[in-house]
Amino acid sequence: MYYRQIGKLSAGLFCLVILNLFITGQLTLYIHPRYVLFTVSMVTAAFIFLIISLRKYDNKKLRYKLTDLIVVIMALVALILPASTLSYQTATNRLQSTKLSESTPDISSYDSFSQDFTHFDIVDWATLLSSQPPDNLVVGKNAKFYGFIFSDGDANKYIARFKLSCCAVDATPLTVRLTNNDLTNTLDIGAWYEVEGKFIKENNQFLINLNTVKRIDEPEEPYVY
Amino acid sequence: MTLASFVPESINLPNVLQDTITLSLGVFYEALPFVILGIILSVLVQIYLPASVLFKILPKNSFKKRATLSVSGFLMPVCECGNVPLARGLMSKGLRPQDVLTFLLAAPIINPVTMLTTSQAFPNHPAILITRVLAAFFIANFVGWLFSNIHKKDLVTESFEKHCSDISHLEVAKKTSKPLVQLKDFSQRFAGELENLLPALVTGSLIAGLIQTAIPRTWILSLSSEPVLAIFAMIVLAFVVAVCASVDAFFALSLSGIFPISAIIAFLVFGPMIDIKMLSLLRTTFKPKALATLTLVIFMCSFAIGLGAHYVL
Repeated sequence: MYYRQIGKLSAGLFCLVILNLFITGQLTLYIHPRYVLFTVSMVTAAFIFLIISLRKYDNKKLRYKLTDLIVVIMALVALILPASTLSYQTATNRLQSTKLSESTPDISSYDSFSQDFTHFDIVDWATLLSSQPPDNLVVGKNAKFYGFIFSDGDANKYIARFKLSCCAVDATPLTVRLTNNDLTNTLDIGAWYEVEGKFIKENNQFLINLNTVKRIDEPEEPYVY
Repeated sequence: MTLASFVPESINLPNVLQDTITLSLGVFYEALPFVILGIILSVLVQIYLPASVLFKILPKNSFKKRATLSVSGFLMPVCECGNVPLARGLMSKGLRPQDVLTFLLAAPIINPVTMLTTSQAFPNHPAILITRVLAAFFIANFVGWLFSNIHKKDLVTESFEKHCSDISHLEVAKKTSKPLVQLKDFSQRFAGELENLLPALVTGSLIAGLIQTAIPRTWILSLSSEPVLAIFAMIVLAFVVAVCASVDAFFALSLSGIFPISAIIAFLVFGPMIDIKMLSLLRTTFKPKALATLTLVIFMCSFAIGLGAHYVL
């Protein structure tokens, strides 16, 4: 008679799916790592309480609503579908002039290591570019980092990674625009690349003039936090 | 052996469908632990907090009682999703729905976690944090006062009233029970409440995910140039994004380059009180007409506060 407790079973299934995502290291594809411990603790507690609450016989009337069916379907979808990162289409949907820090950049601190920007990844560059730095701080500097490729409505190509504050729903693409038609035309939308080039400025926007591109596999941690 | 052993390694879905599922599950997985924590606290309140103690702690005067409830988030820093089951637990103890509403609306903002993250996200704009906290206190108490003369049966659903009545019957049983029986009782109540809230949470998450992919965010962001439209756009965005109050300031920060501070404040005030996911959760307890009025009042207050901030800050 367990089928009469379909609500509890669906909830238990969700708990198992979340615990499985934790074990396989994929929970951070949905939520920020800071929530992982809390999530796993709560879901484990919930699973135990649900098991204790199960009864072999339940005289509850079988009267299900549409929303109960939605829960069952979503639980099955969560179980069957492999965990996935957000696609380039969401990056296109969310392309914006992102501001990543309230602080004004301390130019002197950049100057102290301005001869070597090779350790800058896309987060560092996107943070720097969002703070509207002076041209001489960026133009001519070498950059080498990786991300996925997407394009805006005007066929301009960008390299990007999603930054999560809380969960996938607030994922914001950190982007840098690419140029050099010979190379940008070879980039497949949605694929991951390591790019290398020099910053230039065109139409009041900083772009990387590509020197080399190398296709890579999607990294184990595709998001930045 | 993990569940992964039973599922295919990859299923190629269209990007839009795959992203909708990922976004919906993202909202759900983020909110579920808070809902579970809220239910645990709610059941603890139901079983171990006698109504007499609760009413002894709270002031008798309605204004003072609502003011106390609206700052009680300091003691229970649970985000908005977790506050819904806790609020249900408080109502089942006999607190009036309009009084509990002040807690529901203010607690996600007036709590140490949200205040800390807001100050971290906007260290150069202390006015954002101050306005946010004062606005939450004002709106929560205003709503509590506005609803104070409405009868309980016009606010809460019949199913919730029945739920409260069922719980009061259960209370008699727990007083004589042994620890194992109490654990069973706790688990039954926990599972019952999770069964009540889970459909609402899943549906709310699904709608939030669908809207995220159906409406390009660039449409909403394109309204940023004009201050009044910008405030409106950020309120709409807060409603749609349904991001957790404890970190929404960082999300707002990412948009502060294109939206004015007034719109950021409106976002930070409205979002923790009402969004798609919250409405879906609140629907388990409150009647649609009450929720429509609540949403409209909070929208108007948030809009007015955003507009005020535009002229003052």
